[in-house]
Amino acid sequence: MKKTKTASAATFLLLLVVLACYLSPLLIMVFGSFKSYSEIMSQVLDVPQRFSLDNFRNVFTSMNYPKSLWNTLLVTTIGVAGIVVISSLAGYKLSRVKTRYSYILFLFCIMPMMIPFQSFMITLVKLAKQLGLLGNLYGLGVIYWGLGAPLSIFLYHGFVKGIPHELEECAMLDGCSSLRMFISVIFPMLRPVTASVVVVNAMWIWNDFLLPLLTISNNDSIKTLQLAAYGFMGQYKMEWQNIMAGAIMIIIPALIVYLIFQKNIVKGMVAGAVKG
Amino acid sequence: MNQARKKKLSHTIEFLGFTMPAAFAILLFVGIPFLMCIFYSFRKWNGIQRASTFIGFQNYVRAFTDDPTFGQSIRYTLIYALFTVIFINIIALVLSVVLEQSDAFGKGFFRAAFYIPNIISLIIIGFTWKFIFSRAFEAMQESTGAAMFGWSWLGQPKLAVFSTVLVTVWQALGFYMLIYIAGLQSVPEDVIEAATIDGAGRVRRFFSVIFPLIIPSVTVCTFYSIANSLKMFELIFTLTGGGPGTATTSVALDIYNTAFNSNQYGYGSSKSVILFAMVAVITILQVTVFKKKEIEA
Amino acid sequence: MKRLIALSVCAALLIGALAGCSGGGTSASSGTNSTAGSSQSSQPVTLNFMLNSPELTDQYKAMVTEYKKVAPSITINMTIIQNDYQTVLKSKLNSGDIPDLFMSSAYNDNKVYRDYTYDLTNESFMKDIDPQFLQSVKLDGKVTGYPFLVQSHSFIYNKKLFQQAGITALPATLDEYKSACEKLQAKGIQPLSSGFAEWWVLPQMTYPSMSDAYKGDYSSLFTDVKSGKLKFGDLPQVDFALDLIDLVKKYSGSKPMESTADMQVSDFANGKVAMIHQGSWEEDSIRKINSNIDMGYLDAPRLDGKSVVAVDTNLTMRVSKDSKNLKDVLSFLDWLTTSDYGKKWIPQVIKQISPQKGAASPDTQLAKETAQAEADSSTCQWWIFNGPDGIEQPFGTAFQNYAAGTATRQQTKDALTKVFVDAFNAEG
Repeated sequence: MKKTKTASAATFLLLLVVLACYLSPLLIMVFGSFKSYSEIMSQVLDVPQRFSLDNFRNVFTSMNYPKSLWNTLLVTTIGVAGIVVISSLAGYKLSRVKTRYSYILFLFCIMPMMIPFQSFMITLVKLAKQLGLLGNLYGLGVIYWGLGAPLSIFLYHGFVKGIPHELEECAMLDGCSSLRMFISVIFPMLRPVTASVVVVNAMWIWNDFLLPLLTISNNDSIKTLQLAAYGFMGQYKMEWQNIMAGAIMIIIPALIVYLIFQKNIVKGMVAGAVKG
Repeated sequence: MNQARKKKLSHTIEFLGFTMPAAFAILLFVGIPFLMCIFYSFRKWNGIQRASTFIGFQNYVRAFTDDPTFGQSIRYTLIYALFTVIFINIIALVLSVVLEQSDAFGKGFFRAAFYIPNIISLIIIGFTWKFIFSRAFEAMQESTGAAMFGWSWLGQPKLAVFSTVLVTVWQALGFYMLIYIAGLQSVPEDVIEAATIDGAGRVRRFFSVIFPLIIPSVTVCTFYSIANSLKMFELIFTLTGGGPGTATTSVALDIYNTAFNSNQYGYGSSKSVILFAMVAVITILQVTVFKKKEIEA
Repeated sequence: MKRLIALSVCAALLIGALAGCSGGGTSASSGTNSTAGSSQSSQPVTLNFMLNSPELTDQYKAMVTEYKKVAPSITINMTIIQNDYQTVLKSKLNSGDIPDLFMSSAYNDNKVYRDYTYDLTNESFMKDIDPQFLQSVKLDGKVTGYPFLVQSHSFIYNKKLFQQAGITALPATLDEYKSACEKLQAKGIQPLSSGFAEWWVLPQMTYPSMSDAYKGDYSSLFTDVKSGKLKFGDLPQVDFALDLIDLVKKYSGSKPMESTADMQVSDFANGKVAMIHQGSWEEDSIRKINSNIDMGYLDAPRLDGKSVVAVDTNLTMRVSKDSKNLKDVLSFLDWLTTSDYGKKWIPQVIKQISPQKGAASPDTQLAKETAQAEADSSTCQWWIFNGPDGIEQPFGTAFQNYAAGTATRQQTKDALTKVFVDAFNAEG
């Protein structure tokens, strides 16, 4: 008993050291966010002379933070909610129905994971213009459905394999329609993978820069956080102090979202398995 | 007979009802745009003017026979992908096992902490590491005198390749740990207990009992890390810009440069189609091989 | 039950999103309707501008605020980006979401954007632009754009550090540069910061030093390159440029390939290095770090012994010919050229040189040095932009490969030749 305690204490310390090294690059960012531009350039590694909030104050105003935060939240919510709905339905069905067509459709659905975004973004914007999706946050959120679904379907598809068929059979006997059954029996079982899907897509949409740039940058009144922060990085000038402060202000809400959902992932993961 | 047909029909409708929303969204926002990209890959077009000309397979011929930069970018991408996939998967798996299989205190804290770099946008990661490699390393060398901080991490071609791998692994680790941890948690307790009673040590227990059970997670992680590293763009774009020279120019970056900086959109499109084919072949091979292993296990 | 609620919330959100999306669509189209019918500036009009050079963001904003006072019904909506400028502009042009005014380079871009640009030849305000700066925007005799800023670049030096090293005569040839570097190094001063990590700094550094190619007859130069009569890599000036790169690399400290533009600026401003190859656009950033630095231009060395500073108007504003608010855009440009504020905006707010006739000189050191160079007629055009479209980056990459040691001198020359062959083929 004693032996395991020392062993686990040792593992704890080891992990702590690894983690400290792992996160040390971020410390430079945190320190930098409190420094002035010339202080960043001249005393790179030092603890800031004083923990001044000036940069944060500047960034808060120049990014129009509350508005941008709301916009980003809105896009992320629309994007993630849509992705979860369409991907859980498709992932479930494609996993359960084992026909040739089903497999082909599955391949079609995950194919976009192999295409670099840069290669179809111009034509995507062209199409989005025709669909009236340019220049507003809702349109942007909707485009994410198509871009986020492949990975999510892939994750749901694998997870569903681990759910026993008996449940569905019981529900069928009770006279459930298949959609009702999906909603009341299957979807709750998918909670852990749903949590992963939410986290992965939320982080990606939250941090995405190129698509908002291409679709909503013609409208000055709607900026996401990433777009708002981009002004700090020029070809001739890098405002390091603002970049770092801005980065931290973008990360914090994302971190909170992650922490909320992480509990769910862990709780649920014990019940189910992630299977290819 | 009629009954059976009716049943089949209702099954089909149900199948379509479940799958079509997603399939339609994917078709609309990826499928059609990519088909248009294939269309342009057979044309000479600068991406700006209204007119473009059909030139058959000339763009493809050029990519394979007359473009050393493209050849170099394929070579770099394969090396980058190979090392990234190996390092990411080994390190993520080891860390996950240490976290999950030990009785270490504060598991949840560690799980969350290791995920942090994954929450930050790749653009910011790229810029931050650029700052670290140039500015912070310079300061570290001044204060510690260690030779490694004097190396030109982004300026020496071979070292720059390594640096791109290093930062990618650092950034992506948390995501892969998430999947491995999920896999490890799905291994039933009693199986592990049985192995322990049989007297298997930690290491043996892992290789003979746990590992075979988490191969599905390994398949997912390998697939995803291969696909992602083969089409890596943002991080390299901000970290090295593909340099020095073309030393760290990935295929996706070369496509971007061709289409948007050299204004040869048609030619860039043909390179995209080639990259797509490359990623598809490699990932399908990988999944086929791993699936076999899963069945054997 | 709880799950059902959660799911219905999801569904409601989805429906809301769809409804909102169509709502957004209608409001957007009604917006264009209202603007289409109004060239009389009484009704509110929104003009979309797409600009690069984000270092000028504050100055752009100041100008727009000023214009609002004159034309209260007009709102100018600016998108200011740099790294992805090409990408975003292409996607906008292609999708039909064309900005009313956008920026690009001059010279070969006149041709690239000709499908979209309004012909400014007969606009009265163009008469106020100095004719020497109209050359860069002319295509087949027509004025395709509005040159808005005269910029210059060459080696910038720290006068105090040069004094400390006892350099009295300013270097003008490659050998003189070399001996200046030696003198600086002997005093423990790092002579240069290369900027070689940026693909655009390397070629920019070589352009003035290659500007004596074909004795300055660039149109025959590019005709010969196009016809295959001349391999670009065989120009003696290319060899000279590679020598220059060798020199700069040698005296740029231990990590020349990692030097970025912002490092050049901060190292120079902090007095860590004595010279950088940069342009007038950096003076503001340098002064933000060290406001009383004493600096000036050195003429870049050339093979023919005549050293020069590169001066030109490359940044060009282009008016979309399909703009629904064409008149408003033109009256904006008219204001920018003829009003009192417009006249002083470039020299006094941006603090760079204005291409307008008889414009005031900006009170900055590099602008004064540029004026001096012009007076001495030791300047050159940004001549490379007379060549085919899209060569700048591959050009830079080829030089970077040379500087990083991954390509030999001969390989670099061959690569440069190929850059031009490919670019001319692509233009076809």
